[in-house]
Amino acid sequence: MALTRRDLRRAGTGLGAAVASIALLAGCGDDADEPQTSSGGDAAELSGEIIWSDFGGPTNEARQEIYFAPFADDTGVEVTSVVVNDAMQESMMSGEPGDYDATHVGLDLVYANMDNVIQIPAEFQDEALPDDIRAYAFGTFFVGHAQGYLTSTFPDGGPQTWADFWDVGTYPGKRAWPGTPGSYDSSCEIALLADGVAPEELYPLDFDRCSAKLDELRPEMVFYTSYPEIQQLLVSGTAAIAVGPSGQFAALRNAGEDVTVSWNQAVVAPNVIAIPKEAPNPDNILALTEVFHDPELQAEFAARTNYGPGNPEAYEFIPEDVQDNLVNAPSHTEVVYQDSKARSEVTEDLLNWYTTWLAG
Amino acid sequence: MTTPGTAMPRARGIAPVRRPPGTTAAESRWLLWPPLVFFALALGFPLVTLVIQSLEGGGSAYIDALDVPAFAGSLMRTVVMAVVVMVLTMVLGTAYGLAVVASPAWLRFALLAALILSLWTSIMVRSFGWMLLELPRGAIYWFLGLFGLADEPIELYQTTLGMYPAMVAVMLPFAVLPVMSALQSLDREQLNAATIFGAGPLLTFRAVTWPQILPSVLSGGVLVFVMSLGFYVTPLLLGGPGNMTVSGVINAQMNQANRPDIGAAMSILLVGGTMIVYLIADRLFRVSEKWG
Repeated sequence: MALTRRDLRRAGTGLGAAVASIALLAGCGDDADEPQTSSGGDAAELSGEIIWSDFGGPTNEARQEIYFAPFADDTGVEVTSVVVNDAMQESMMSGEPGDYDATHVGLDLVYANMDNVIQIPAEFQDEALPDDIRAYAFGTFFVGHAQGYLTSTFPDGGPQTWADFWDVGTYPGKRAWPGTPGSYDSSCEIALLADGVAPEELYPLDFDRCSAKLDELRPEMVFYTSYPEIQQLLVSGTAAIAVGPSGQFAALRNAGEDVTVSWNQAVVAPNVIAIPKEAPNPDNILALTEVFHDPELQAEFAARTNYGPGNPEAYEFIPEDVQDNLVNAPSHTEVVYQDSKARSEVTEDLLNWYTTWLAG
Repeated sequence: MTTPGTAMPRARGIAPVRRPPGTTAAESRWLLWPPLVFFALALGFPLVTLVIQSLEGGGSAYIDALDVPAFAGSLMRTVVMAVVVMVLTMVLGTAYGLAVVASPAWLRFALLAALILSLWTSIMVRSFGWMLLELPRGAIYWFLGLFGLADEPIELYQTTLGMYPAMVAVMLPFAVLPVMSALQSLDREQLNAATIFGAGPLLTFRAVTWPQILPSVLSGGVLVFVMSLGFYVTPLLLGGPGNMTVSGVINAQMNQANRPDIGAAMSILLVGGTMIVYLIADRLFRVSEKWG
């Protein structure tokens, strides 16, 4: 009985998605002729709500004001934000029914579950994502794992590359480093880059080599258990340099500190929003992908959150001083992209490796 | 008033035998059910869910749990840590409880207020407070600097030594409160009697006070031990990742690896292991016989 109902629902969802795509395509055709009623045409067909799950905080606030509010004005569809429940996300990403229409995930999780997510219409895909995954995610934002320090710490110029980060002789002081099992971030990539591995040869990750390189620096490390501690550790003088998501350095700058971030070899981690196959309101969420692809709105979101946009056209609307905070800005030519596909194949190994190294 | 006889009167002012509640059939029927239902819902149900979750893959989660490289080490570390915290807290908590009862009214109020305030404050906030104290150029450094005692930044943050004071402070109320209530119900006349018979303060403490508060000291200790098994943020933040507890490993399995079954199996192993440790300790030290 339950199976039959689930199957029916699944079939219904697939049909709904197909209809939505067609409706969107048709809507776009109309747009060209009569731009003033562009969204009015869609609005007639949409009703109900969207359940959006992410990690809350300022990023969610920015989404509400920049993307959700105009969408609700145009279509009457309200977007309700909830904080990700891991169990719900896990079961929906593995293809089971649930509440979420959209959920915030790392790109590697999308690679691991491509069969279980709804595809995005071609014209709303973020071109900054690799070809093979572009259709499976939207709402892209690029987080940079970079090193940053208070400019006053190194008045004659601070560390540039990860090799410099390891060089405690030239750049003395403790290094703030992620200290919880799940926060492996780009630790292995950074260690390998410091050890002289070329960016194109990082994958598959050599965990033993990573551990050996990290062991060298361990006595000089001070660990944080949540990202905002980075700010505390730098300002209190506990750490001279910190590795972390670039947003933390931007937050310090907003608080009036003079911070230098080195984008040389900074590692780019793509974060995206996925639409699970069993999303309850597929028509609504697919309509929202159009809003999310808008380059001007993406520029606004980037300026507010300091996360890099997924639509390269957005950079035309981002001022120079903001661009400097964004990891994938055109001027940051030395950054290194995570290979989310390669990482998706070793997710469990990454966690076990990092937990073991930390506890060692 | 009381019937004359050879039996010693028990304590002052005890009313003639009053039947404790729960002795008639009706009373035991109705008084027993609410707590039973509560425990079944609040304790039994989650535990059963955990067991079911851990057995989802036909028991393979237990093998996977033992295969997680950091698990066994962190389990041992957690138990050792809990024992150290328990012993330190029992010693300090007993001293604190005695101080509270022996103090003049104003000091007693201050000591109690400090205890209750710390109980009301979130463990995250308290851990973060300790971090601000222990940072190389934190509050302790500043304080020592006032007396010219700190020339170089202190090396306390993220060391094993820096972790225990915070953990003991977090657990202290749970050891103090039982000891205090035992001390308060102590019959003062017994102390007077001991003094009259010529016992000094030390002998009075050893022969009269200590035997009567020992059950409370032990039950406080067991409580602290069990609660300490759940430490996560405090040792990680203040002791550094080298002091990672099993909670950290379980959390990673639940939230990052998306393997709630392994997390559940680890939790069951932790609870089971703790019970075995307790049963052995009980055999050796007869802890439960001394419970009040």
